[in-house]
Amino acid sequence: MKMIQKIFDSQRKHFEEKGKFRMLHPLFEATETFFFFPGILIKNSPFVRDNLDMKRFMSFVILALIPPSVFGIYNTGWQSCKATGMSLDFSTVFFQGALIVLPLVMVSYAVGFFWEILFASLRKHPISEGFLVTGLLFPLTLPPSVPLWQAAVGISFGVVIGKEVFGGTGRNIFNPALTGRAFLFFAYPTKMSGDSVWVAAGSFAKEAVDAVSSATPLAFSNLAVAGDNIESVLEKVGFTVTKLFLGGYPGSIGGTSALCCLVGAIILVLAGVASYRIIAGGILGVYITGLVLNLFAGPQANPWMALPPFYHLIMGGFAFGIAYMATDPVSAPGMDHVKWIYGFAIGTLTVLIRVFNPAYPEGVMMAILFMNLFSPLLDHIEIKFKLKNRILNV
Amino acid sequence: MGIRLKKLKGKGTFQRGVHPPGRKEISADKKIEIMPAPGKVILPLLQNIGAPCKSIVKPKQVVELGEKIADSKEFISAAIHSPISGTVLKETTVTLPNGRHVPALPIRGEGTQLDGQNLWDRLYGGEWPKKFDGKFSPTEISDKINEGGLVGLGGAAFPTHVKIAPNPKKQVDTLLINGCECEPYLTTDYRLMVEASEAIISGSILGGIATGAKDIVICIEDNKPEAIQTMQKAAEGTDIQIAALKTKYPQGSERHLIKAVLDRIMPLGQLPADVGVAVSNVGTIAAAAGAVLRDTPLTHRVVSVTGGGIKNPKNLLVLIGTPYGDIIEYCGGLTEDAAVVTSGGPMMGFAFTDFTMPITKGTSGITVLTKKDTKKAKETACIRCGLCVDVCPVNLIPTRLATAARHRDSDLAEKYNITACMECGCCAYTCPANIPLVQLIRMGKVMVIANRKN
Repeated sequence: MKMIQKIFDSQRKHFEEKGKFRMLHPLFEATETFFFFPGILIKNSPFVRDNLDMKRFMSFVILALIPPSVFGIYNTGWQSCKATGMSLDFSTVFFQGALIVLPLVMVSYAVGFFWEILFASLRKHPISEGFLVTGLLFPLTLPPSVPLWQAAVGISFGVVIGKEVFGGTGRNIFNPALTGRAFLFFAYPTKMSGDSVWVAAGSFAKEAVDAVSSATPLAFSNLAVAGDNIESVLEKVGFTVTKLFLGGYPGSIGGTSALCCLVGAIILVLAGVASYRIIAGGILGVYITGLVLNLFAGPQANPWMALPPFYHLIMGGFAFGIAYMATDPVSAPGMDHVKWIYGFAIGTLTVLIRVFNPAYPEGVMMAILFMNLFSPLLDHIEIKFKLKNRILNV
Repeated sequence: MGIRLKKLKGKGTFQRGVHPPGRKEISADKKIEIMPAPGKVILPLLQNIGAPCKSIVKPKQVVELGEKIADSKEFISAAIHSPISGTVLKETTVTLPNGRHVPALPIRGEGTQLDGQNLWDRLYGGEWPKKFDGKFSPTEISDKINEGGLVGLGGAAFPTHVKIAPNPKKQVDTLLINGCECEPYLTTDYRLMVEASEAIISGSILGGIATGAKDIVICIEDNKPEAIQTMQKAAEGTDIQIAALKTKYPQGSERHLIKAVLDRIMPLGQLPADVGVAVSNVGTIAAAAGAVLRDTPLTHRVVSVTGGGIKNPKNLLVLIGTPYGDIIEYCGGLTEDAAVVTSGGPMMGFAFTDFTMPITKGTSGITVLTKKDTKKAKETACIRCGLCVDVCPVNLIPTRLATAARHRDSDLAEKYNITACMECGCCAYTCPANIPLVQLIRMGKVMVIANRKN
């Protein structure tokens, strides 16, 4: 550590007020605080602080993202190997998955960091650790076959339009990673939805296949016609409840395994980073809406109506969305009680979009972005209520 | 240790709040030592909330231990007594750690001083009666407390005779003796409860007589089992109850104590008496026993000198007016990695650098934090995580208050009830972006109050 400290000390002068790289001061600062606590002592009370500062805050999200990322790499590789007829032993699968996923992650980080550093240097604000999270969240929501240049465009849109134009970290209205994904979804729908994007062939495929046709559970469910039972349709193609829960099926890179998302969610809640209120509210929202729709289900009705609510929790990106996206502190409301409403509404909207609008099978993305829009209003309502009922509540 | 509140309504805790590392072990087992009198004491003439005192002695006048040297005609004020026998010097001005410039009277010690065990015996030792059988009337007790110049020793320094007094308009039914000491590091009240439990019990009964309270409850956080046991033993044969409360910061705040023990809500701008409660710190009540039974005015107090940055952490009985420097020196001085010296604990204390300043009646401890203890923090953007809202014990929205203060929007700050903030520091403790919320809110309060006057 001493050596690293020496390097920083000797290079500091170039980045200060009159140094030749003073434009890049935010970059220097970010790198330094990555290794060391900032050299500023607390001058005012309280003199002791909680260990959960911004860096730790973001590190916990990264930690919680490890299970879905690792599983995502494995699953992507497995689907790809299976589709292209490669051997299914662990190392091949993992290697294949890494070949598909890692370039996406690297592009996302590199392009995102470019924008982040550019804005930080021009605006002279420090580089925010928040990007480390956005840069990893974004590729995990993508289908594995998405071209790298599209990923670059998506993260650029997410960072610039989704965050920086509002004034940077803490000021954005929407979750930047989801904003990027939504942009790609509407700009390049053929690469973001449909049946041919969820399995990437990868460059090492024996046969030259660009993309392999393979539908997600949500897409399969839409094949069910009135009178059909979605559970049996899914079962027929091999998507049992266990499989849906564990996540070994085609889908977005990080979002298939509800189990991994559950592990991540537990880490986040225990570390105090994510609000359990949002997550619990979301699950309740899905469940209650699902049950209410079940009441209206009949033989002539949309088969989605009869789907047991549990399926909604484990299918598609809901688990990933509610654990990592909906709990993003910046775009979620900050007040306690409305977090329940916020989560609940996300759950409800997800189910409603899935049931009544089969054109958008991934309802959770729209639901979260839509509720992001409402979170300042929700906060405002709670604060109003709080101030009105104030006999100084202890 | 479970929460034991027999006949009491409260749940033994309150909502929100934080759990900072206690670090009480540094000085918890150190017996109270009697520090020898310093060569000179400096007595600031404002050591309480309320009106300042005026000197009633002249320079070069010779004063005795316990002689009154400054007084005020105002009701909310407390007289100041000399803790030392010696000669009064010329009046000066001192800057206390909280930033106030206050006139002060230095007194040079001369001749032999009451010291060591004799001093302890006079203030806390010996026999303390548990029954009074109408020996003292309520007004007599509060007059004696007034005469002794007592203020709240927990830190706020509110004149005690205002609280511990018969109040015909507001009937008090419960007297809470506050031994929570929720502030990290400090062990002043803890040591007093262990070593001077008899005086505390005696004082509590006197306080009960003065306020007319039927119930007397001594409230202790459950991280001090030894204090709970000692107090229980001392309270045998009396009606005093001991309540073990859940350890959480800021349990020692009046408002939260009343909520936790009695489940009563004290609205903004009201005093405990408005909800039928009187609250007093254990140190104050022990001093009250002395003032009533032995006519000893408030001239000494116990301070914890603690933290990783002090060579020999101690609990000391010192003269009020002893310079901080003398006390730190008596404890072996600072270690090499000492970073911040605060008057009071790390949550609500004030950092100071001028060691010639004296301790006052309200100084509950000196905490010396090392570079490692005190996190280095750099302010970043608010990420609206809502953690400050989650922990605010008075249910405010710290981040919005801070933003309002930063932008000097007095109306908005007032709308969000900025004056309800008690500056406990929970929000700043928990803020991941390290925003100096307490300072901003403090600034905002000053701004709001100044605007009200206009």
